[in-house]
Amino acid sequence: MAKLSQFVRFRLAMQQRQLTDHPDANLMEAFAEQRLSARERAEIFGHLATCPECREVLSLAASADANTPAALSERERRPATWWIWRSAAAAVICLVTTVIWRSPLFENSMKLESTAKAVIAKKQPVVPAAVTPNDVEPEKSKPAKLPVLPKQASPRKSVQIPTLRLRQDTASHLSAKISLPEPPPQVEVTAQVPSSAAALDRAPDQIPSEPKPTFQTQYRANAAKVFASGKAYPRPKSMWTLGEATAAATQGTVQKSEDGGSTWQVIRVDPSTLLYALSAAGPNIWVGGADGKLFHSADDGLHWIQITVASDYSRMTESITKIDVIDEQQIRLKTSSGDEWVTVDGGLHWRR
Amino acid sequence: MSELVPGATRLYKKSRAEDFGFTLEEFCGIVTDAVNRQSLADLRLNELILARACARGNNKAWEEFLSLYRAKLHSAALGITKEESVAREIADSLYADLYGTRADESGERISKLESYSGRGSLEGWLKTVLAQEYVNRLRKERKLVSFDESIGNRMDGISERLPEEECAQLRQATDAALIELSSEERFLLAAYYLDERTLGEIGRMLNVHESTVSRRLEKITSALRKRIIVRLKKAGITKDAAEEMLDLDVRDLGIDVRSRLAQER
Repeated sequence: MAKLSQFVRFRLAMQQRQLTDHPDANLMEAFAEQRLSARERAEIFGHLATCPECREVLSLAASADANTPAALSERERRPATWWIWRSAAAAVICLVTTVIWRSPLFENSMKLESTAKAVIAKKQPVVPAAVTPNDVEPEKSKPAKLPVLPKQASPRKSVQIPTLRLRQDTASHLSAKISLPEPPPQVEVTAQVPSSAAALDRAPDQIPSEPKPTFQTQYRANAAKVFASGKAYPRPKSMWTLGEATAAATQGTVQKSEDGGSTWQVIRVDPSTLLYALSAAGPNIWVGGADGKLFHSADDGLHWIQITVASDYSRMTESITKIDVIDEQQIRLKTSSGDEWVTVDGGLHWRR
Repeated sequence: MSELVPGATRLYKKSRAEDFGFTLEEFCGIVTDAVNRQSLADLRLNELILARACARGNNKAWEEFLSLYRAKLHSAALGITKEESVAREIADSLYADLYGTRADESGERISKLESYSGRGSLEGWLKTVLAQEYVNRLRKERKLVSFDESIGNRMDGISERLPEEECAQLRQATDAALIELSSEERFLLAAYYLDERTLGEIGRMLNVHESTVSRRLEKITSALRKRIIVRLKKAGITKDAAEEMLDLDVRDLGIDVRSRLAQER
């Protein structure tokens, strides 16, 4: 930040006044919410420029949402460094997750689970699994290609993880049922391939009834053992990204990763809508797209509702290009026409 | 009166004014009064009606108000005061004011909610009122140091460095350059350099990202410096001398700040 001459600072201080007539709370709040006319706004700025008390009120009201003393001070004076800490935190999470996956404890739990599932698969009749709109997106060509997928073909780094070995078991079980070529004993596949889900799409009546092992089930199984041993266990963090808008199969979808980006789940939001903007804050996920369509999930992507963005006199019909989640209640949307829509009550009411 | 408010019946139902015991005429009176200060489209009608119904003592409205804002109000008070006991105290004090502990000449309770105009959100209004209460309380307890005192403390022990004539030129050039700034620019300078707020705090005050605040401050500061130097050059001071004058520590300027403040106010 450029240094302001001490003399200028002194002259600026001389302009400060101990005023007694202050704008009322209505005006101050309307100012904070940017609901004043340009003239009124300039007047309030004029008052604020010379009234330290009102600046204090505005600042306190703006930071009132933070229950704990906000992490203000020095850290916020260096806006360019925030990403270093976030990147470092993400790297640590990925590293810890990978170490736990590769740990003997995890391997053992997966071997046990995989053996158990193999036994169950042999004994139980085959019934189709129920599909919900938020289930994993089927990919038709993947099951047949799964055994021969070359390591170099993947754009992502190949990771050999127990999840996929288990899926390979499922795939070999399926290949026997639907006469697919026998897979080789050991394959390495990209973490992104949802093989059993793809098989589900290809031959729904051939799918074993046991639930597909997910990161959560493995996490829970392993976590129980680690907790029993008295060691700490990290919680997975969800990462979100938009599906590829150009591909018909991924139109109207978003992708979620619960393991630091190693594997991605495709989640259907609205297949008829091209999605352009996504914002995630904890379990609250906001997705916007063409024709002013806005979708919200309050449970980390399990259920979605469409939100109508409209004020008393107009309705948003332009594409949503950006979503800023200021907090749980305040969301700001930007549209392709440059308009801005804001809600301060979690999407119940909107204003342009 | 209902014809004065376009779509009055629809708005009457939508705002739940009927549920809170307002007649259509009363509702239109509230709306007409509110739209004198702003457009109908910008009015937070539902919140205005809820506030007015609470001010009238409607139980249903109070139930709704408490369910919607009680937790938020306590949380906001804690965010403002950062102290649990003080937070509870000012939140309870505000509740009393919202309910109305004073009475007017006719014996009617005066609720603070009556002064909510529906211009900003009710939640934001409550937060601002809380912040005002807290600042008033600090001032009464003399925990806020006035600017006169704080500047005076900083400027104690100064020594003579510049001749009075040059000092006057610098003062004129600086004041003129400051006046040329917009009120928003002066606000940014005051918030950052006088109040010593962080970029993040200022960003939250203006609802913009802190990097925007940073960029604007950089721009204002460098433009201000250039303008002062141009004015000093016009007054016959060389560029180098002007730069040197601006870089002087104000404590070396030989100014009795306390007496200057007293003279100029």
